[in-house]
Amino acid sequence: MKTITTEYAVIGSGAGGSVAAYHLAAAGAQVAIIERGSWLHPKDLSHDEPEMIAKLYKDGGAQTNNDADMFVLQGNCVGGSTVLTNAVCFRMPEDVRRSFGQHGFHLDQDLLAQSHARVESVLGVSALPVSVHNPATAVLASGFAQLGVEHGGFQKAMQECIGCGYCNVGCRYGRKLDASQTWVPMSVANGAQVVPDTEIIRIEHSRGQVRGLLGRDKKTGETVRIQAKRYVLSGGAINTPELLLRSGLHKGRAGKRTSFNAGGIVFGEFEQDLDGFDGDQMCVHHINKRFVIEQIQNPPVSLALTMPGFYGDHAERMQRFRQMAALGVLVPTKPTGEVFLGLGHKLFRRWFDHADIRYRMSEEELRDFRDGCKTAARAMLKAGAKRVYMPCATPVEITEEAHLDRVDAAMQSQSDLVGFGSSHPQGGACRGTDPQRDVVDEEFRVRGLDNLFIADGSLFPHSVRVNPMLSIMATAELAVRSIGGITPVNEIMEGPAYTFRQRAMRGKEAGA
Amino acid sequence: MRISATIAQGSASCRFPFVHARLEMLHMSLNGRIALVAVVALLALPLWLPLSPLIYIWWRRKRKQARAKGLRVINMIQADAIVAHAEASLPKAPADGWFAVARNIDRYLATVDSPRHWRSHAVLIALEFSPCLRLRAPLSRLPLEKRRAFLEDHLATTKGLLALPALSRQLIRMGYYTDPGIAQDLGFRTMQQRRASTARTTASSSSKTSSSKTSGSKASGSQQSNDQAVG
Repeated sequence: MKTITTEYAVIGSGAGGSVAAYHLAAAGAQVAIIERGSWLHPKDLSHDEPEMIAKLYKDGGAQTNNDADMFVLQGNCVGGSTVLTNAVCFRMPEDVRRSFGQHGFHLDQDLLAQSHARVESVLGVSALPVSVHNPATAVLASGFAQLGVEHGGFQKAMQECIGCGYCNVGCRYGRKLDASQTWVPMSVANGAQVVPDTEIIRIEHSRGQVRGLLGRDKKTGETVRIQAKRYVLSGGAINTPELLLRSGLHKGRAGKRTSFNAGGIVFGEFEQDLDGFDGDQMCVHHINKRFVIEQIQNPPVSLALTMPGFYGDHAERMQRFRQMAALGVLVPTKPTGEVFLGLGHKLFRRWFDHADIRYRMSEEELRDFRDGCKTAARAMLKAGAKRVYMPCATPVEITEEAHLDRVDAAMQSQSDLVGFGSSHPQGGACRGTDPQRDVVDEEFRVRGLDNLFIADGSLFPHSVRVNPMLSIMATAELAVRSIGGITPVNEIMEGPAYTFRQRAMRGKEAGA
Repeated sequence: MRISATIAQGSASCRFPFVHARLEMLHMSLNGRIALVAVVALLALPLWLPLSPLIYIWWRRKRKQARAKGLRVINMIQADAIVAHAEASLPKAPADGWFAVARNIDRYLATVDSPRHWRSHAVLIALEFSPCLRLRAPLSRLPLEKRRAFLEDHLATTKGLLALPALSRQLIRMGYYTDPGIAQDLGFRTMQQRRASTARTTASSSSKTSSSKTSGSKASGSQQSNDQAVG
């Protein structure tokens, strides 16, 4: 048995864990970051989609809900899901912050703004340069403009992006400043220890204290025991409640109130070759309170996996790969989902050693999703698409606006949808003031355990509507104030984005 | 289109419309569907138990054959199902033949580290034997036209019991479109190809005008730094 003894054990190295680990390490504490996935250097990454999906995604990208009609994508590597995102950075919308407050999740407006700014400076968040926009962007933006819909570009955590279009399988060029490029190496530089390929199986606890973590080295099969003064759970919205449930903690509360930004992709076929693969995947978006529309131009395998249609229809559409533009439609769902340990886990653990996810779209969410798809289709038609394909099993091809009525009949339930899923699960171990309902108290402490804290997206009482990476990082920053009694410094003067800014400044001075 | 027609007909094309309609209505989770199959298998125990030594020998043989063909985790039953499905549903064989699709899927499944990975294996087995539910030969034994008709009539679905083997289409799409030749046929250009064409364009324009010389050197400079980043 391998034993690791430390002051703080941070479980998970994604958006929440990496930020918490950095601040604790920077304050001089001894920190161990435990990660189930491997630690891959950009050199280890490639554009071989199946291989990267298998290596970087939890369950090889095959994690689904219990009905197998919704995929739930999560990272399984050092850096977590941040390695797989398109580095899109949205601050938590103010109305969401207020709504969180009504659910007992209070975030001070000024402190949150400071945290957002600090996180942005570490990630080097800036507007995506037009030079790396893919060629379909201008076409889609013109569609939004003609439709009279507000739209804009993205703020992204990237430096000198070259627009290869493979963000979702990790950046082999090291240009995406995800957690594995920023917070994790910065933590290591401050003395933190990273323990990759180690899965935590159970939290051992007694008399209101966590006594240790029991895990397994995935490479050697060796049992690993971790002992710390304080423990921070940051496994994300699926894994954090799963670990609590496995450990017999907060049964009936953990795993409940899971929400998603869930959706599918609408494809538009144009007369001319767009070559949307030639540039950054996501360059234009539209947001309103009911849905978010984001461009998503995928390379061949990911495009094939999300393209609606069966057999002959699907193959025909794939042949028009170069003429395709794609808009993802995301709906912020209500916290009606659930992460739970099913009967299979209890009876046949060898084959069902994982949590199940239960989620069905409500009528209201389905209506919002249909409306989002219709808006995306209208924008594409305005932009000159000759045909629009809807993400549903019944073949619906839209060639004019009058056809949009067909969408309602074709998308009656979640199982009518094709390529439906979420990369943004949230909730499941919510923070709040109600001890009967909320797993985590206002100090980010798991109720009933003095030395167990949570710092990840599972704290959110409902979906943040936009891509949640920045919101999770900023919340984790706020959490370390309680976890370690730390006040983060105003300006973080390290990391690749900081170095880049210094270099640019020196270049400017030399030029002057 | 055949698919549209089938969907329009609904369960009318089914041999057992009543059963089919009941299964469609039955809202069943993935685990529930797996449990249903397990229960059916258990009920049929007296039928297949005497045959189990033969099934075991046959299974081992199929696995050995697969290893001989360089497959690491899938067996020949699964590989045959993949090839049969790909051949009937995709437009053009990869340069190395349809077996390349099975090889790509094997490579993917061999890399996945998950307690759920057996589901993908089960889905491929279910694919091979799904025609048996309609009293037909296994998928790889069906003639091409009948196979195509079966896939389009019964596996073009997201609902019911057959939605489970139908999930295999995602694996097969992954195995097919990852082939570099197929991706190139679609008009996709890899980053290296895009860079090479940019470098060519830059080089030809730099030889024509003196003003573009500067931008050419800039482009190649950035190209160099990108390659360095890749290492």
